[in-house]
Amino acid sequence: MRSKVSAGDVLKGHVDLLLLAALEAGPAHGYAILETVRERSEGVFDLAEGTVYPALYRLERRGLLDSSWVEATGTRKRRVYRLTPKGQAELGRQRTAWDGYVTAMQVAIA
Amino acid sequence: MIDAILEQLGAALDDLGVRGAGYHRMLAEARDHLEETVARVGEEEAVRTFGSPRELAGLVAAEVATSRTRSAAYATFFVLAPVGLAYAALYLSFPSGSQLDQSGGRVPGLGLLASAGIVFLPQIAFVSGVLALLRVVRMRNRDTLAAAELRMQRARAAVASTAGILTLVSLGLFAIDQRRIIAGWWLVGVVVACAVLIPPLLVVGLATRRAARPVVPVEGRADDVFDDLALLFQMPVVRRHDFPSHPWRFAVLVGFVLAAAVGPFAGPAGAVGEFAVLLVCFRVLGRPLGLRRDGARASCEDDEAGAQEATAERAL
Repeated sequence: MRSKVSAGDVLKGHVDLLLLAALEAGPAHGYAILETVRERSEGVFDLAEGTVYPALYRLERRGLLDSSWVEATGTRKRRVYRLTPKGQAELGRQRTAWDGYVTAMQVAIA
Repeated sequence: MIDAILEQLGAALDDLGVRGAGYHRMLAEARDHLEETVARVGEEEAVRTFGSPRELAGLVAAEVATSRTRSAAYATFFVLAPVGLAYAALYLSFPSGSQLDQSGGRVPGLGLLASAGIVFLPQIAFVSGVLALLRVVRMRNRDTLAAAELRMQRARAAVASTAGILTLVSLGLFAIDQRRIIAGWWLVGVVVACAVLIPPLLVVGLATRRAARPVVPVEGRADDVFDDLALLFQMPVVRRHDFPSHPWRFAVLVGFVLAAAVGPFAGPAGAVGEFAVLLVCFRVLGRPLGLRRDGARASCEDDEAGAQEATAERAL
């Protein structure tokens, strides 16, 4: 069984990459973004759910995401986030950096 | 249970000074999130996985404060730029040959006071504004910043905008005091500059103050000018003077350079005045603007440097 990883250790510093990657497939709201991260990591990346919102605000402030309210079921409103072109470019940059890091680690610990 | 969590979150946000749009947005998103989670995994699990409302409120406060502080610092610099241009234009276009009577205007001493403001306040505004911009540009990609760092950035922006306002006020007082002997068009220019440029400076000043409202629970130290200009201070010829540990040496050096620069124009008395005012400003504003390194940090770094030297000597 895989051990769960908290946002406080390995995840710290990589939350932005996870959120940007989760939004690559298309616009989504906070809960759906978390679900995507959880599913893709097979439950390993278990973020404290509330903390994803300040991270989304930060990415939006940096112009990597934009968002808007949409009507959900009943009277509920829901904030939907989407990648901006700048966010797409940042995702590519962070992926490349991550790939380089992983390759270097694999060589270093082999 | 959801209502109780939202109530706690709302109270925590309010406690930390997060109000208005940020407050309502966070609560609306939290409600949507919790309702969706409850529908899927039940109330108890939804509340558990959501996390602590207090911790979440702290993260939101830090994000809001960081964002507002950066915006205020950028805005301050960009509002100060036209102030600088207007000041330069008025200074350079001052009618030559005007026989000023700085001590004998309508209000005794006002002309002298205003003249001092016209000379020194723009320098304070310029240095603080540039330092504020330098810092926010340098830290533009950092996530939420520590409370001490945000306080320093706001102090730089606030000093810059206040000095900018006082510069314009000094110009205005000077022009009014000397209006009988200076050209009418110059007086009109000063009044227009004050009327156009003071309101935006007041607005950015208020924005800076508003940025201080969220209470940021992120600990950590603020950088100082020696971090801002690390490339300069790490050059071997500069480094050996150890300015971070002896910031007054740096102040005196800058004072001499400035005095030497203004001496040919302002005479010996002007050069001495420039030197003295710089030291006074360094004493008063040095800590809030990060021109002097925090004593604890400096001595800690001295200890580390000493330990490294001792280790190196032992190794040799």
